[in-house]
Amino acid sequence: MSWATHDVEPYVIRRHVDRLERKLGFPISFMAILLGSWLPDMMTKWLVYGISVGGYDIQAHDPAQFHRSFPGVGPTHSLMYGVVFAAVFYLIFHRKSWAKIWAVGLMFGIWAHVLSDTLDSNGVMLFFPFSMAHVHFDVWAYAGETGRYVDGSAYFSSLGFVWDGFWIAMVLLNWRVLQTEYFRLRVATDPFWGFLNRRLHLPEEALVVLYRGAFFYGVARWSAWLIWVHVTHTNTFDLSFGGPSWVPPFETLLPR
Amino acid sequence: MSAPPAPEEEAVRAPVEATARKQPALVAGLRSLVPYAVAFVIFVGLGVADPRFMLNWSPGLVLLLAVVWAIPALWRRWRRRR
Repeated sequence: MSWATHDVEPYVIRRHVDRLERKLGFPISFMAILLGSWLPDMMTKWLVYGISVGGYDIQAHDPAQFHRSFPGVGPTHSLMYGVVFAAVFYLIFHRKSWAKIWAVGLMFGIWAHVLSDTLDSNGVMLFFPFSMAHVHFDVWAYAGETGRYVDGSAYFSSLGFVWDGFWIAMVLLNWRVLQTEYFRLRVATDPFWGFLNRRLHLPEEALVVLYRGAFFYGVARWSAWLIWVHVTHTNTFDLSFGGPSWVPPFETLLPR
Repeated sequence: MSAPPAPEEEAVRAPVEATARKQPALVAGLRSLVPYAVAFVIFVGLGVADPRFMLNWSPGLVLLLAVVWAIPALWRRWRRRR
């Protein structure tokens, strides 16, 4: 899984869909791309890491299998999930003016998330339901089953943090996407921002801050995790493919 | 009536004036980044002290809105009233 990537790559995607927008004849919502980029994990991660409710600990029996396979919620990490989610969303809201721009945005966001997650050692069922095979490029070790903090430590000690850094650099190279002018011309065309303006009485200044929020969150937590993992604690970097070596392969942690 | 500047003098003056025009915009741009830098430092400090802070985007967004928009807006309003 990726961490800050899911927060920052929607800015780069939004920057590069201009030509597609001209072909489609309508804009693509930035907020929908961002939400789509968060969706596959929003629905699943709490059971992967486990939560405590009323003194009861609830966690998937086999987190790695549950997260990315079937039976489990693995289909949320497939290209088809993006298509189905967008289609259902469009069918429900097709009378609304924003149905199309959100449906396409959600699909792109989900696809971006799914494709990023092919880089870890668990991978995703990219072509589900046509194939249950996991597509995985083993660039860094999947460590979801070890819990939030070991997972974070592993990710930020591996090439995973470099992948996040790449996307942060891509946004900085496309720095104009963070400007108020870009927000006005390309992002605020989505009625979502008008809704926030009218209903919550948020002025443009606040809307621009909200728009930049995911990038801020991605960069800030990328920095904070790196400090927490390598300065506050003494985890070693392992920038080899499939690293870090100190994470046991998730297959060895599967219940027998 | 003063004579128009010589072509060499104009060639020197034009880029200098262009830079002078750009500078206020650059300073204003950099100044607008200060609240973001403050929010960044607070977020990283809180996140390193308690990593639970880094696991959810909502506290980060509230912090950003407060530091970059709400507090400065309230400050401006308070100063206008005085």
